[in-house]
Amino acid sequence: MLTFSIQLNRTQPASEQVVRAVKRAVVSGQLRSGDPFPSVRELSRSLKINPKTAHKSVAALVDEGVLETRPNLGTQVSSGWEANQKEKAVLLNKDIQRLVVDAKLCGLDWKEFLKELETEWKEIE
Amino acid sequence: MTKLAETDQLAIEARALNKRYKDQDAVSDLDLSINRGSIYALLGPNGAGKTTTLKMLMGIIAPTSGQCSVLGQSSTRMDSSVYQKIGYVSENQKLPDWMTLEQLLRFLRPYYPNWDKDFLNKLLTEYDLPLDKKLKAMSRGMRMKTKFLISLIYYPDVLVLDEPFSGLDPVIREECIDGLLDWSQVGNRTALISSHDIEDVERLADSVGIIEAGKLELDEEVDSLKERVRRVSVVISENATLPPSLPSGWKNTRTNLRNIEFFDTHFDPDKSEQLIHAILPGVERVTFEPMSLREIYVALVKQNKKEIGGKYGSQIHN
Repeated sequence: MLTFSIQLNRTQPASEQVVRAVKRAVVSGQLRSGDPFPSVRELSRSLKINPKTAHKSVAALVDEGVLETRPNLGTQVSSGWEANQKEKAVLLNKDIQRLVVDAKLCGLDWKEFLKELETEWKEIE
Repeated sequence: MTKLAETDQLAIEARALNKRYKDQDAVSDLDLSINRGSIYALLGPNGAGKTTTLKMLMGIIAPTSGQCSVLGQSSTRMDSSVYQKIGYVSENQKLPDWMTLEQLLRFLRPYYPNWDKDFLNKLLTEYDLPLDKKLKAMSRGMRMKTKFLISLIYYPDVLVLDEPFSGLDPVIREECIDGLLDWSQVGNRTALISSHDIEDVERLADSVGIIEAGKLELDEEVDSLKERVRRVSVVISENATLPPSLPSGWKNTRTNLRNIEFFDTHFDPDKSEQLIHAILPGVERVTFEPMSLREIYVALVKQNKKEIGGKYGSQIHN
């Protein structure tokens, strides 16, 4: 079992989806700094993805500072990385767009939409 | 002998490959270049020429014309030194049914210097295969696992798999994929997998070729394909009348009232939207949706055929 949640879809490149899922897990606290990160082999096997795809994802995450490789310790979640506002927005972007389109399709106006959001937000708090 | 340098990038190569049966072309003018280290999916419907292509590559049947090679050695003149580096798994491949698995392994072992006992034991456990069972008494799934087993355990540099997952139950399919992924982790190993089911292989492969009626219609890296193709829906203010000429990258443009839909085959996140606004009148909303490999296949290959065929000529706008 992997230590972060991911549900691969068939439309986006798998490596991008892994990168996004890991960032999301870090932002949400599912993964924390110092947590061990699965090896390329484990990642490839768990998700049934091409090893190169798995490698590409890990390389991108290391490159962006989300993960770090330590000699003898393998790969782990780094301590320095925090999603900036822009990145958080990008992580949410698609979902927000979908939500807004759905809301508009249902005929909600801005106030009604906000009210719905607020209710849902409070329920989870 | 056409021997390429050992450092050569290509694991599998075909040039102008043809196979003709009586008056039917099974494979026509097929060019294929598969890099070392790649997992390549050859996709296409049943009867498209996948098996014929793989058999020619493996030297099982001879091409009518053209050339093909594996690891730099011509497929029509392969010797045992190359066979030790190649694995071949086919749905229709025969097994010596009178043998038990143990007998089969003992028979094969001397042919393969790279035979890996640890990997064998690992796979035997994972695949849950009984050594003392006669092959003819094995279920379809067990036979397929046996074929995977005997092709993986000598760590071939190239694996050619013909419809390896077809008709397998999901658990066995996953076991086979795990074995394949284990094999492919190390070194620069290359796999060519044919399948009529895109979803079977789309995450395993880094590159795909799509073959239809003996012709290779598409040959590209999966990621680049997924990045350059989008389903576009545009809503405009008035009923749609399209300009007489549209960008050549827009495929299968359809209109209905205020909606225009097409496939953008040259999608560029920085430019595509601008282009739409410049070309279409009164654009109110544009949505770009990424597509699965199956959808891309239908959009690029099937649709292209219809347009070329002129069957839907009145709808062609590009």
